[in-house]
Amino acid sequence: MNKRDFYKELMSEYQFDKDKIFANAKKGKFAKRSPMPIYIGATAVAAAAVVGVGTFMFTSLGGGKGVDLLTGSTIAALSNKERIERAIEDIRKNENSGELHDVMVTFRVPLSPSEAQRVLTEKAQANVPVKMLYFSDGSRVVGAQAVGKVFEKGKGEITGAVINCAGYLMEQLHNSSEVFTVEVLTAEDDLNVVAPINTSDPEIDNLPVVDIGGDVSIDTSGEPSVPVNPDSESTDGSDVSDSSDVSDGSDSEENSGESTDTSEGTVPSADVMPEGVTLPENIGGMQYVTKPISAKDAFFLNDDCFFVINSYGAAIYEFNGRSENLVSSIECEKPRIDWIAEDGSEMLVSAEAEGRRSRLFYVNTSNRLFTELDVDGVVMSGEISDVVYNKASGMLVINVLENGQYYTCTSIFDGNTAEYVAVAYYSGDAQVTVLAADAEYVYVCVMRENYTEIVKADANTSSDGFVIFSEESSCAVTPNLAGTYAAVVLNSGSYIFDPVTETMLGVPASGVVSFGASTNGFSCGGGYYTISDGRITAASGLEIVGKIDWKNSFSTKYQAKAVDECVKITESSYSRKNTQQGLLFNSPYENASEEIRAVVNKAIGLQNAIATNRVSASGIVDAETLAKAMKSIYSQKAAEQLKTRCSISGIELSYENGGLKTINVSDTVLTITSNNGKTAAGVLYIKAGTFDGKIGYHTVNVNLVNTGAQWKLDGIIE
Amino acid sequence: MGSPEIDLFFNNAYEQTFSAVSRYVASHASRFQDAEDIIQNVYTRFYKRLCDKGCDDIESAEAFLINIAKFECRTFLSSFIKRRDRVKNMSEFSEEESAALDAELSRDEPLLEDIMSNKILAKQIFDDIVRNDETVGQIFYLHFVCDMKLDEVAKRLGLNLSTVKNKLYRTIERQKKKYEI
Repeated sequence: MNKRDFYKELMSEYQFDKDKIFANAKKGKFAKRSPMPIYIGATAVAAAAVVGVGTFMFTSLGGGKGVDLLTGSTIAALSNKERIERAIEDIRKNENSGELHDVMVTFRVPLSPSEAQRVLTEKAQANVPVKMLYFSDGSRVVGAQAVGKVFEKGKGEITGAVINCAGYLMEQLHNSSEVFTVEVLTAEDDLNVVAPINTSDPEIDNLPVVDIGGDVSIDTSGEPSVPVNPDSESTDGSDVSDSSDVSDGSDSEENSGESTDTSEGTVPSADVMPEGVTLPENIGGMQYVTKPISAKDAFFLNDDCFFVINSYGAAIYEFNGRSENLVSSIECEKPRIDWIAEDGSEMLVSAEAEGRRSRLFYVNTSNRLFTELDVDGVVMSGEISDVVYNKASGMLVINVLENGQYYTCTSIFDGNTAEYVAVAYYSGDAQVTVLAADAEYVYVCVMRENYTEIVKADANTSSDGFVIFSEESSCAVTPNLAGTYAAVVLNSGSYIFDPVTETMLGVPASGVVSFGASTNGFSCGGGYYTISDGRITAASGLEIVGKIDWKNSFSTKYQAKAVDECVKITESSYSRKNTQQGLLFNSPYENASEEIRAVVNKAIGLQNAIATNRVSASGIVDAETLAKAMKSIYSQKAAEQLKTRCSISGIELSYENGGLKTINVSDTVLTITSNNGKTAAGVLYIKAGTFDGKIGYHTVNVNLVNTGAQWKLDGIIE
Repeated sequence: MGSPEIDLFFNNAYEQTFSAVSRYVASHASRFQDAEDIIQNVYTRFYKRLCDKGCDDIESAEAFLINIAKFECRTFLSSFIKRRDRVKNMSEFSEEESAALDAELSRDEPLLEDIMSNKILAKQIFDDIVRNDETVGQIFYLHFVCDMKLDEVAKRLGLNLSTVKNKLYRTIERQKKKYEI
């Protein structure tokens, strides 16, 4: 024997206590599992509230369970020995049940009220509704108020109590040294008759010690089976509010030619743009292209950094408006965003390793770091099928597929630490997709051939769960990124599953439901909606559109797009201006005459030149040329307005931008709404950006006057 | 609790599968220290299942038990999400030392069979491995019993490869002197 074989044999022989495991298995004893969350549901608290003094109403939700051992006998009909035997069986049956029961707790020796209160609550780590107390003198107290007074005053010797608790707490209570038995009560039990077990009964002393196992285990119902398988501004410059006439005398002659009265038979001469002037009708927008970074997909997480999925994994870059800078990256295969916060501040990204989706990363935008979460223990040799994270409740669900079987694993995750909870749902013969999750339940869609069930499973224990919807139909499921709702398409129609009301809400329009990163909003058939209290309501505004169009919306400055392995960065559609001002999402049509369109374009060009300090570059070399250019475009009133606004000097070429914004002619649509030959009015639609695939427009009222020789703009375009 | 037929089935299955199930659990449990409890639950659940539903539909006890083990390993996690600090495997363990370790492990020593026969001494040697440093026990079990390579063991335990090699090497050297093996 060599040392390798020696150590192999030695470690095999002594590492695990084979005999002890064997013996315990036959005793039905489960090993303790360290942290096991204990929840007392709100239902239990409500149950206590309906109990009035002197009147005991049974509210047990599981009345049928735990009474079958001794032919359904009531407690009163059983001997103490029989009650103990049945109690042990009750505990075994409910060892991992979340079902609520009315439970009789018998103390080994009479306890003071404070001791009794401690024993009953310490195991639950929460308030347990106590419905009844029994005293050593045979008296009893019924109802929450009366019980509360006993605990306040602290008098009497308590021999037992009736409480309402989840099944799995029974074993915890039983393990208290002060507790003798814990029995499930049923509707058949008359509390005016039943009482705690008389622990001084000599018959009890002769009972064998029965080992009911360790703390908490898993309900056998979860047991794996054999593998058989997105105005008008009266800006309008148009607020050509009659600004005071500040015309300089130099223009007086020419101004006369601007009369709109053409009835005298004299045809005024047209004001023409000086020769050599070429106005910048299209300025273009901010645009930056990074160096090649193998980008496949990219979007901004906030104003300063963008996320890139590249050929090697994923990366976060900072962008200062002039250059990009790699901040952090991970190497991984096929990264997939499974969850992103509504504001883009956090993400969960899963990835493959050696062809198997088995890695999970937490991305925090504030520190711009990837943190890999160790999920080996959950994924094991399987792969991550889907990840659902409900940030509000902290419930993180990782649905694992291994050898055709689904393990729906729950944990509580706060961005820093996570505590594993349970395999909340298990299926060996069906396709399982997680629809949504909250602090208490995980909702899964279970698909078997042509049959679909929606199952509500306790997030904190393993169980079969409750079927809350079923249909003989195939199914297509699309959960939202927030883990709050899911789109479900069945033969009978398209729905949104609402875990709050546990109902299937009919989709309000035909088309694909898109949730984006919104927790309670979605788009469908071109409309936007929100869900609240089980109702779907039409919604509008960039706030909701942005959450659905999340890849374009997290920055008010930029948006990113992967192009030829680079990232092209342009101005964000979701700028503060756009989000603060009303946008129009209809489809404007161009109907302006060429002459009117031409003068509007020139006005845009001149304003662009002034806004960007390109007047000279446009061929306007002196004040006189500028005045002529203005006169060829604007009415006297509008020209004076522009002069004042931009401090345009009449002596030398001097001006300020006056707060004018650039406009690209190519981004405009001009719709004339009225034209009587002397005056015309219309709306200039200026493209603000693309929002969830739709073009949004700012609108500007445009007013024109006809001098008889030409159309002129009667206000500044802004 | 079970019928004689069930007990017989369980007994045979236990003997036949314990080694395989133990290895599976030890190499898959999130925390090595939970392995024994998980194995316990696997067999307890198995026995209960046999008592409730019999054994007629079980074609392979080992496959069935491994399936339960997959479930229990996931169920038994106490805290599975943590930051994973990936440490580059920069071995400070020299090639010479690696060669010496391999040679030492491969050397035949008839005395070792006698030691295995002496259960008291064998238990002392086992305790010497696991008592001072629990990690050493994990390294020994995963490497020798689960046939995991040392870099796999290092990854599994979140340790530097060099650390794993050093712990293994030093323990073997210590035992060599202490027990003259």
